[in-house]
Amino acid sequence: MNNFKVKNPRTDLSFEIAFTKAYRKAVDSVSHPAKLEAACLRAQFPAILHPIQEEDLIAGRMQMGVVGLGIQHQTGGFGYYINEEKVTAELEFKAGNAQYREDLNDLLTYWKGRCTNAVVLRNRPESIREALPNDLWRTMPLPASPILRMAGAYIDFDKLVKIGLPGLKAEVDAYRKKAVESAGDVELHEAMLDTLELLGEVCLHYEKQAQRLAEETKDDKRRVELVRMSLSLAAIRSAPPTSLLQALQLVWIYSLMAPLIEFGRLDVYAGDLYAHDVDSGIISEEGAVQLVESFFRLIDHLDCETDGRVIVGGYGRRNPQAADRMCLVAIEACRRVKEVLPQFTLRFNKETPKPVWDAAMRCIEEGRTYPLLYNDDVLVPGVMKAFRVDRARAESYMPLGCGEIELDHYSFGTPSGSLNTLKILELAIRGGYEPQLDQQKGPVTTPLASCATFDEFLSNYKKHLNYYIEAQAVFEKYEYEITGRMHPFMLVTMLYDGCLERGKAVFNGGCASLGGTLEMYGNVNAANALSAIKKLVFEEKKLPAARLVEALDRNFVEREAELKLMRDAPKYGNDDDYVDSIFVELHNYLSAYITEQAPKVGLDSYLGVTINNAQNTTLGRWVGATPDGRKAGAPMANANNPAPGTDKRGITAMLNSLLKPSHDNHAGMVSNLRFTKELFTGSRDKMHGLVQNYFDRGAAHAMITVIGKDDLRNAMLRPTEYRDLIVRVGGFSARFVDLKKDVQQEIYDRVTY
Amino acid sequence: MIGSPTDGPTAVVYDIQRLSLNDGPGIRTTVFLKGCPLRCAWCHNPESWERQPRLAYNEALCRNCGECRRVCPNGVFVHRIDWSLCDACGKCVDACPHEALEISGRELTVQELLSELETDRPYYEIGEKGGVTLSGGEPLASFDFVEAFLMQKGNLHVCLETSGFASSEHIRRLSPLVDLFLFDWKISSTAKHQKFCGVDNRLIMTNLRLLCQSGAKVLLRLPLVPGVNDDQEHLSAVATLLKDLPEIQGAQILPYHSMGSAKETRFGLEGRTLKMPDLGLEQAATWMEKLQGLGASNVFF
Repeated sequence: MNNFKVKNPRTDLSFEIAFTKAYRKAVDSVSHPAKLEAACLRAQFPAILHPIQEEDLIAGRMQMGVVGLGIQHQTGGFGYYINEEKVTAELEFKAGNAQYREDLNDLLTYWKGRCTNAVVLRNRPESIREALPNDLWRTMPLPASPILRMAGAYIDFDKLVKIGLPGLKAEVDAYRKKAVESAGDVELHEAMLDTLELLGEVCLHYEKQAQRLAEETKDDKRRVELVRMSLSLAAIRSAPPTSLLQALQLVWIYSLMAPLIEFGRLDVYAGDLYAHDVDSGIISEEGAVQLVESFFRLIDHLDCETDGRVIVGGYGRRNPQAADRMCLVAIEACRRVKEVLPQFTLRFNKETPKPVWDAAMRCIEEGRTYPLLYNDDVLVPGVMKAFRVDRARAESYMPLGCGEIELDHYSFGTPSGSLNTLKILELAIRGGYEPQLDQQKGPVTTPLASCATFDEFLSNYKKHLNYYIEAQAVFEKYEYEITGRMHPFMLVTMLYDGCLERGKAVFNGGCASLGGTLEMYGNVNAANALSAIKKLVFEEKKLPAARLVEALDRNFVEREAELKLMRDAPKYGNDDDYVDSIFVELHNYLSAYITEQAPKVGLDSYLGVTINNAQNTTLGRWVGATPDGRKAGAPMANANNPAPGTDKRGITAMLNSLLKPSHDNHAGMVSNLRFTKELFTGSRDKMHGLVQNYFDRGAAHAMITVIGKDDLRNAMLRPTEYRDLIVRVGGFSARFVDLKKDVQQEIYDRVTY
Repeated sequence: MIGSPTDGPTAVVYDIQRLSLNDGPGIRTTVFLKGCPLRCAWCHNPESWERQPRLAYNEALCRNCGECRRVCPNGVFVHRIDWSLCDACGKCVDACPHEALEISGRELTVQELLSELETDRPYYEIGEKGGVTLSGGEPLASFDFVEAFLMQKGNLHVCLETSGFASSEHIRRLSPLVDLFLFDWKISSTAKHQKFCGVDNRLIMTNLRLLCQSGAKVLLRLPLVPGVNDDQEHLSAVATLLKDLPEIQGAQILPYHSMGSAKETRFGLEGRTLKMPDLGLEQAATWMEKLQGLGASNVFF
C-alpha cells in the first residue's frame, strides 16, 4: 500500500466520510455508472490534492484516500475501494467524537459488500470458485489467485499533448452529438465532458495557488518558477500545450485524476516541445533537465511500489530525432533523481544512438538500477508473434508494472491473476492433495509414488496446471465484463484507441484489444524439482518416489541424505542442458496453454509473464519442501533468474541459461543482474561489452544493479537476499555471499565512493 | 570425473574462474592447476602448492550434524578436522547435506577441460579477443597436460601464467603454442628469491631470456609485496630487465592482497604465508611512477 509523499498528510478520515456520503447521494440520484464516476471524481478533487511544494516546478500532489475511486491497488484501490485495515485502525487507536466514529462504523459496513473488490469476487462464475476460492495470496497457500485490478493503462499522451484539453473536449462533444443522433450512450459523453470540465477546474485550483505562492515568496528565482507554473496552468486550460512545461503539466494533472501510474513514451510526447523550447532559447538544456527532474519526483511521490513507468527510446517513434534528444535529458534527470520511481525504462535497438546507450550505462554504473533495458530487436518480433499483430503495432509495445507487455493506448493487458507453479507441483506430487490445508484440490491424479514413468507424472502435473490456467482465463474475461458494467474509467476511455469512435467505455466494448496476462511464479524451482524427480526417481533410481515424498513431508528433518541428493540434482542457471531444457519445455508449455485460452474465453490475447517483484518470496512462504531441495517456506527464484544459491558455475554459465527461453510466446520475462560498482566500472569496456553481447545473443531484458557500499553491508547481514550479487575479487568475479566473512569484509572495505 | 590413462595426460584443476578480467586481454576464463615448485611467502593460493586434491571446510555452513564423521574411513573428523589424516577421498563431501565440505581439485583430461570451457566461448569474442588463461599453482608442473591442451585447443586464445620455474626444454616446446606468456618476475636478488620463494631465480631468468629470443609474446607480471620486493634494488633491476629485453611487451604490477589468508583456515593451512594489510591501487600507482622514473615504459596495473 502506498504512502503518498506529501508534506502534511491528512490526519483523520474526514475526507473518506465525505466521499462516502457523496457516493451514497450520487447513487440515489443517478443511474448511469459514468455519472456516478463523475460525481465521485468531483468528491475526490480537489479534496485529495495537496499543496505545491517548495521544490515543485510542476503543480500537483495528492494523497489518495483510504476510501475512494482508483483503478488498481497502487492508486489507493481498485474501483470503489476501502482499506478496511486502516479504517479499523482509526477506530481502534485514534480519538474522534461520537459522530466521527459513527460515520466510520457506517462507512465500514457500507463498503463491505459494495466496494468493487467485493462485488467482483462475489459474482465470479460458479465454475471457477473451487480453483480460485479467494484472493488472499499473501496469507493462504493458494495454487492460483485472482489479483483484482485493472492495471497498466497506457493512455495516448501524445494525442493529449497535441490536441490539449480544448481539443479533447471538442472531440468528445462531437461524439456526444453523434450519440444524441444515433441513440448512443449520451450520458457517458455528458459525464466525460463534465470530467474534462473538472480537469480544467483542478488546473485553475493550482493556477491560483501558484499565483498566491508567487506573491508570497521572497525568493526571486522561486517567484519566476511559480509565475511560469501559474501561466502554464492557465494556458493548458484553453489551448494545447506549446512548451515542455505545459506538456508535462497537462500530462501530470490528467494522470493524477484518472488516476494513472504509467507515464508513457515521454520522449515522443514531450520531444517536439523540448526541441522547440531549447532551439528557440525559451529554456536551457539544464532548465529542461530540472523540469523533467521535477516530473520524476512527482511520480516518485505516488510511492506505488511497482509501476510508475516512464518509457524512452525504441522503434515506432514518430519523431526519432527530437525524441532521442529528449531521451538524453530524461536519462540525465533519472540519474539525478535518486528515488525508487519512476521505473525508468529504455527501449533500445541496433539503431539506438551511441550517446543514448552510453548515458544509460553511466546511469546504471552509478547504482541507479535504471534504466531498465528492453531489447527491441528481440521483443518486437516476439510481440508480433505472441500478440499476433503487425510490425508497426508491435513497435508500440510497452512494459508496464513489473514487466508485463501491452500495446500503447491500444491493448489492455491487466495482470489480474497469479499462478504458483511450484505450489501446483506440490499438489501434483500428492495427486491433488494440499498438505497444509489437509484438503483435495483440483483434479485427482495418480500421485508421484504410483507413477510408472516421468512422462506419466509430467502429464499429471500439466493437468493440474491446466485446471488453474483455465480458471484464471475465465476470471480475466469475467473481470473485464463486470468492471465494464461498473466502471467507465472515463479519463482512460477518452484516450484509448477506438473508445470514442465506438462510443463505449474502455472495458465496456470500447477497447480495441482486451487481453490479459497471467503472472507465473515458481517456474524455475518447478523445473529444478522436475529435473530432480526425473533423474533421481526415474532415471538413476537412486531415490524411490515414496522416500522423496516422505522427506518432503518431513521438511528434510533427519532426511539429510535425501536433501543432499535433491540439492545435487541439476539446477537451472548453470548452462546445464539437462535441466535448462526442462525449464524451457515447461515455459513453452505454460506459455502455449495460457495463449490457447484467449479464444476459448473471448479475450483478444491471454499471455503468461515471468516478472520481477516480491511475490516469489510471499508465495514461496506457503509452499512446503520441494524436490529441488528447497525447504518449506523458502523464497522461490525471482523472475527468470536461478533459484537462490543454485548457480554454481559462475556468471557466464548463468547468462547462458538465461538466454535459453524464447521470447515470442509470452508477454514479458525479466532478468536481474547484480554487479559491484568496482567490477562494473573497473573494467568498463569489458562489462559494457558483456551487456551488449548478452543482448546480441538474444536477451530481451535486463535489470542491472550496480551495488554500492550500503548494499554490501546488507548482503553481509542478510546473505539470503543477495545470493545473486557478483563481486570482483582480485581479477575475477565471485558470488559475494559465498565468500568468507573476512573476505567479504575486505571487499566491503575496498569499495569507495 | 577422473580420466583413465588412455585419455591422455591429466591435471588437477582446483578452480575455474569465469569472467576473468585481469589475466590477459579481453574476457577470459582462468583455469587454476594444482601443484607448484615455489613457496612464495605472499602466495594467495596456498592450497595450490601440492598437486593432489585437498579437503576444504566452510565453518559457516557446518551444522555439526556428524554425517562426515560417520562416513570418513580415516577418522579425520574428531572434534576438529585433522587434515594430516585426510586423503581427499570425498566420502564426507558426498555425505554433507549442508555444502560445508568440498574437495578442492579434480583431475581432468584435456577434453574434459575443453568441454568445461564451452560455456564461456561466446564471451571471448567481446571487445579485445579474450580466451583462456592457464594459471596455478604452476601450470608447467603439469607440463604434459598443458602441452596436450595447447595442441588440441584449436583457435582458442591461451595465456600461460607462469613463475618461469620449469624445465627449459619444456619452455622451448611451449613457446610457439602459447599466445601470451604472463611471466612472473618476483624478486631480482637471487638470494632473496631463494629466501622468499623457496627456490633461486637463475633458471627463471634463463627461461625468460629463452622465451624472448624465441619470439614468444611475453608480458611481465610483478607481484609487489611491501617489505619483500618493493625496494629500490628490485625496481631498478626490473627497469634494467625491461630495457635489456625489449621483446617484453610490458609489465603489470600486481599489488599484494590478502585474499589468501582467509583461505588458509578453510584448507587447514594456517601459518603457511605472510600476513599483512591489503594494498590499494594508490600504492600500485606509486610503484608504477617509480618504475617509469627509472626509465621503464609500458608499466601498468
